[in-house]
Amino acid sequence: MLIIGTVVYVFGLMMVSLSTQYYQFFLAQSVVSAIGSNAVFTACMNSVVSWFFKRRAAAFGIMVSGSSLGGVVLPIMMDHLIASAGFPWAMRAVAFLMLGLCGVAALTVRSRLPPRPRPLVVGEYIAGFKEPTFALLLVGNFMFFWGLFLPFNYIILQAQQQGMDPKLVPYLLPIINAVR
Amino acid sequence: MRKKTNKPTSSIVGRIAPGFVGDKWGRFNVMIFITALSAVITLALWIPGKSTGAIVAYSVLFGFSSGGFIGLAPTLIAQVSDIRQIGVRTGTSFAVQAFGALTGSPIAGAIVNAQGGSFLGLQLFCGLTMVVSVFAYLAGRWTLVGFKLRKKV
Repeated sequence: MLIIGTVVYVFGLMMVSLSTQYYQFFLAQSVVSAIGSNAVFTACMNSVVSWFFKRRAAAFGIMVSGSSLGGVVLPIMMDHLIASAGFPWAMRAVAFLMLGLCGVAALTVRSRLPPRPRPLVVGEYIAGFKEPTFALLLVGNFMFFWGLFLPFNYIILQAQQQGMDPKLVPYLLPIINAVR
Repeated sequence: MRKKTNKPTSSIVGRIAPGFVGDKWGRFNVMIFITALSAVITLALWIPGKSTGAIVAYSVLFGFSSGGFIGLAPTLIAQVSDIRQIGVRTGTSFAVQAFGALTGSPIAGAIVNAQGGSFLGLQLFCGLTMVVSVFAYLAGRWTLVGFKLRKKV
């Protein structure tokens, strides 16, 4: 799963670097890359679940802090790369970076328990909805995710509209990501 | 490149600290605190905040709380699920929340357009969805331990 995810993700990013039309960006970035990166992320997450029990939340925190680091480094890196190498090669540089990093993950991350392929039972997925605690968790997660990305996506526009110092505005996202 | 020096330490604070605290004080408790914090700062700091300082302060606090949320969410699912079901349950949750993440931004964009470029509606939408999520986690906690306040969940 890790290997497939890595290949799909890098392929998606490479396609973004070739995109010129809106629908091409949408397909390459929002669909193909997202499927790939989620495959990698989910595989790593399930591996962490199988290794830790008592300090699971702490282990998760350490794992996802990697994506904060990426969130700090990549916006600044992209900004400078687009200026010096242009958008297509900036995208390709990121794709090669991901190929190397995910390659390391694919070679080192192992699950503690051997994977037991189970038949895909749709009922198992639906059964959770009938359990009050889990159903409420789903509601909570959904509602929070509904609003979660709005500050990330809109704070730059909103800050510009309010007349914030234009030199500081590009650093808002790295600031948010730094603390995440 | 201001703030560069304290970046690694603060990223540890946001993602790792809630996890450690959650293991100790109960993950539901910490989750309720973190989502409530997000809602309060969105409604009470982002909306009235007109100065550069307020927006930067909001960025820092929201970064902290949203990071904590992302780290904690899977552990809550793991806590209430049978260990063999965790994979399925996490998948279900991801499918549901991805729908929220996917539709949130276009909805917010439409709100901004409908309001003629004002961001107030977007900010209210953002803050109020978070308020609803706080109540959902509170209700989830209630299904586990009832109204007992000082319980590690």
